Amino acid sequence: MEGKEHAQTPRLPSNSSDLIDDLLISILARLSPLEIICTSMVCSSWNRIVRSSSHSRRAEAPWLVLPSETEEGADVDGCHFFNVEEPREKTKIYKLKKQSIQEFRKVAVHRIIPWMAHSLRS
Amino acid sequence: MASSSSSSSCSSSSEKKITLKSSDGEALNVEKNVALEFEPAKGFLEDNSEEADDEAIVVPLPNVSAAVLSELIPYVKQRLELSAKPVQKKLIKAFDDQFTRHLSDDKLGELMLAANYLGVNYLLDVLCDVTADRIKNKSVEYVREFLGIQNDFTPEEEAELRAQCPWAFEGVDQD
Repeated sequence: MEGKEHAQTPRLPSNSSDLIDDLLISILARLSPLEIICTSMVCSSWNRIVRSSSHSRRAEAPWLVLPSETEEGADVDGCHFFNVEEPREKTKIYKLKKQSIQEFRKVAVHRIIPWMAHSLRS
Repeated sequence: MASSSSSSSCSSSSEKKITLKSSDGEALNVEKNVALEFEPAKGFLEDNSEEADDEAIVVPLPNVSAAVLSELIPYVKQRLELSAKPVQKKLIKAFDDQFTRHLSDDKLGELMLAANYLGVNYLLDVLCDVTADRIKNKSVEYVREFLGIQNDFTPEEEAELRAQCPWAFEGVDQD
C-alpha cells in the first residue's frame, strides 16, 4: 500500500494551539481566580471561555482585601489583597490603585471572582 | 526465563495481543487489557467482537502518532499493574510524577491531546495538573508561547484588557 492516506487522517497539531475547550476548562479549574484572569488575555477563545462561566472554579477561600497602608510613603489610595491560602512565605500581595477599582469590578463581576467584586463595593 | 511473572492476579485476557495502528501508519502490538484502556479501541473491539482471533484485529487510532502511543503504552501498562495491587496512592503519585517530570512542553501538549482523545482520564488529570503548574504565575506571553497559541487580539483590544487589571501583570515570573 503505497497510496499515502493524505490529509484524510487528522494528525495531532505539532503545537497545542488546538487545545480544545474541554482541556482548557480542565486546566482553568486548577488555577486561582487571578491566574484565570491573566489566562483570559491569552487569546480570544480563552477569553470567551473564561467569561462564560462554563468552567467551574475549584472551591477556595475568599481573598482578603485590605485598605491601603497609611504609612508615610506608601500608597494611600486603593487597596491590597492576597490569598489567605497561600503559604506565608510565598504570599503575594496585589495592589489595586483607587482609579482601577471601578475597572476591576467590571472584570470581577464576570463571575470569575464575584465575592471580590462584592468586597470592593465601597 | 519462564514467563511466570508475578502478575498472577491478572486475567487471561492480558495475555492476548491487539494491534493498534497509529496515525502515521505504524502497527503497535499491545496486550488486550492495555488496549481496552483506550476508549476508541475498546469501542472498536466491542464492535468487532465476532472476530474470533484477536490477533487479527487491527484497531485504527488515526489521531495518535506512533511516537505518542509508544510513550502511552508503557505508562498505561505500568499504571494498570500498580492499580491492580493494593498499593498506596502515594506510590501511584510517585509513578505519575516520575512519568511527567521530564516531559517537554511539546510532549506534554501532545500527550494531553492524546489522553483526551483516548479517554485515559487518570493520565489526563495528571497532565492537566502539570500544565496548570507550569503556567501558574507566568506572564501572558509565556503562556502563549508555552501552549503555542497565537495572540489574536488587536493591539487596541489587548491594551484595553491590560488596562482593566494592570496588577495582573506585576510580579509574574519572567520565564
